[in-house]
Amino acid sequence: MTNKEEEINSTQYIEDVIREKSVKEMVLDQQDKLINSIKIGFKTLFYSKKWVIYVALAIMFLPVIIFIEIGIEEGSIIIEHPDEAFVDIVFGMLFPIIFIFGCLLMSLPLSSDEISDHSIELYLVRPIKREVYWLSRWIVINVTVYCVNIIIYFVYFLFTHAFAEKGVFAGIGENFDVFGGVAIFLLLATLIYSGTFLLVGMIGNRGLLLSFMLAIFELFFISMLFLSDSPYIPQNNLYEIANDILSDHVDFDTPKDLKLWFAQIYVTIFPIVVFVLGAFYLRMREFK
Amino acid sequence: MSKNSEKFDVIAKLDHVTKAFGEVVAVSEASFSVEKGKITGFLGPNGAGKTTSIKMILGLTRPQQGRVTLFGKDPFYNSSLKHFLGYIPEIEVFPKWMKARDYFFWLGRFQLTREEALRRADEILKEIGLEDVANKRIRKFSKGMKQRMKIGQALIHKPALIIGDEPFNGLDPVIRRNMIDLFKDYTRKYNSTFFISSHILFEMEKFSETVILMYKGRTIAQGSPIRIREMIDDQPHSIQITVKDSKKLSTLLINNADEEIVSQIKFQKDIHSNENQLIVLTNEPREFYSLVTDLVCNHEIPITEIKATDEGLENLYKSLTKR
Repeated sequence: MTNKEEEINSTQYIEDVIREKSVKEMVLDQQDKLINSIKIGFKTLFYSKKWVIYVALAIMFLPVIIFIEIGIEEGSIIIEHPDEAFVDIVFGMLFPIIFIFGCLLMSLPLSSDEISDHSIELYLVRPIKREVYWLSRWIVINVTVYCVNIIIYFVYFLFTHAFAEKGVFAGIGENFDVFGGVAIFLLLATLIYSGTFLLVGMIGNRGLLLSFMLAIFELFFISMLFLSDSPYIPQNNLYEIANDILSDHVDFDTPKDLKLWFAQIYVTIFPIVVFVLGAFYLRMREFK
Repeated sequence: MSKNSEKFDVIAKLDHVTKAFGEVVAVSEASFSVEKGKITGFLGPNGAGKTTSIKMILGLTRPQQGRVTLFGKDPFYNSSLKHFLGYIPEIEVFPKWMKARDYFFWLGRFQLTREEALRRADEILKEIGLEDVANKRIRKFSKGMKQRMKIGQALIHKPALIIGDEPFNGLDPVIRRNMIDLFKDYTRKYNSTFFISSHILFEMEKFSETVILMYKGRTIAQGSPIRIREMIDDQPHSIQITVKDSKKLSTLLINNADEEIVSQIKFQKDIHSNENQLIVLTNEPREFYSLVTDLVCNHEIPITEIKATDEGLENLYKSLTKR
């Protein structure tokens, strides 16, 4: 039998099997498999409890952050401008340190953990396309990282206003635009870092080490003078956009020659490139 | 079934396939086919290339040379073929959060509607005898229960082809017999094809219609179990039994078997679990397995595991390749 004849016969065989099985019982389109894979992904992340570690870390850092960013005078905390204090906390400590390691930590159960415990094989022997599987993981990690961070940042937002000089929660209503600006910034940061750590984690069993190195290198290079103006560092572009969104409340030291239009294009294209790379990588990847 | 469909009788095929990992050649010029509606045994010692061959059929890895087909197509790029495929992995693959019913439901949802997945999850739990622990977490299960869970998830969507990588590891003789009956049921009711790799030659012989022997990456024989049996009959076998009451079982074996069935018994402890083990040398493996099954059932002796040791199999395959 030639290969072509074999293919015609096999196609007919598959059609007959589907007919015999009753199509009503079967789910054939990829959209349903995507939704199923997303649900499994959320449950895997939820029960892995790495998000709990992240939330606990973020809250535990509260006293340190208060001390460094706000300062304690005569044993009490009084915040003159809660909006500025909140922005200082976000961009001084929360985002550059805690957010990035939180992203890394939360992406692990869906990247290197699923590869090392072989559960990815359990899913890929099912009729789900590799690209659809990747899309499900990408959606899950982005939604989770964003939601968890919104909650953490909201706690800090409430905290800074709880110690407002004018009274508890004074001016919180007027300052909601600051929280809104931070929420937009967080969305962009999530899209950049979640996908990146998911992709790096997928590379293999040493995903944690690789991701950790990536995070350290970015922070390290940022702190070095010769890269502080680099237009290719994600943080520089994110800070440029944050400067624009929150211009009424704060003014950051951003790279002098970085243009806003460049930063906007950069943060749009970066996640798309990472997503396409991941889909391509997973399509070619063999599980031995 | 249509005419073209009836002509289609080879579900999976390896055609002069070679696969190497670095300098290690896992599969070398291997060729065999899995025929529709049959139970095919896939035998070979550790490192023979069985798992690599299976992963190529599953589309998890690609050959460097040769052609692998599943339902006549390349499985690496055709995910839709996997609607008709069930896979029983060798290792334990259980997402930590899943309970027994969840496991079947969520995996079944990749192929089935919600209602059908729920219905089949309960049906499968009954078929594998775990309906009482449907709402318990899998990580608390014994090795044998986990093995049955792996078998169940592969059957949930009544696939046309079920590939099992050592599916009987860790099952006691009674459960193993039940699982074999379940496989036979699926072949009869749903015309399912089974492709099962195993170390336990004489269990495979009982229910497989064709046997493929693999050794050092090559297929060294393919044919009916009777023919293969004739080839390997003279070889002595070493069988390892992990059992709590090893003294009782050894006494029963000595009292109920002649020197051909039990030539030698050694006692040892498992390095990891510290459980008692018996290493039995036999010239009549088929009779030996039958005897052990009877003794275990009649005297209610709980067995953790029974398997042919690798050394015994190595000798067997070496002698086959010399022929």
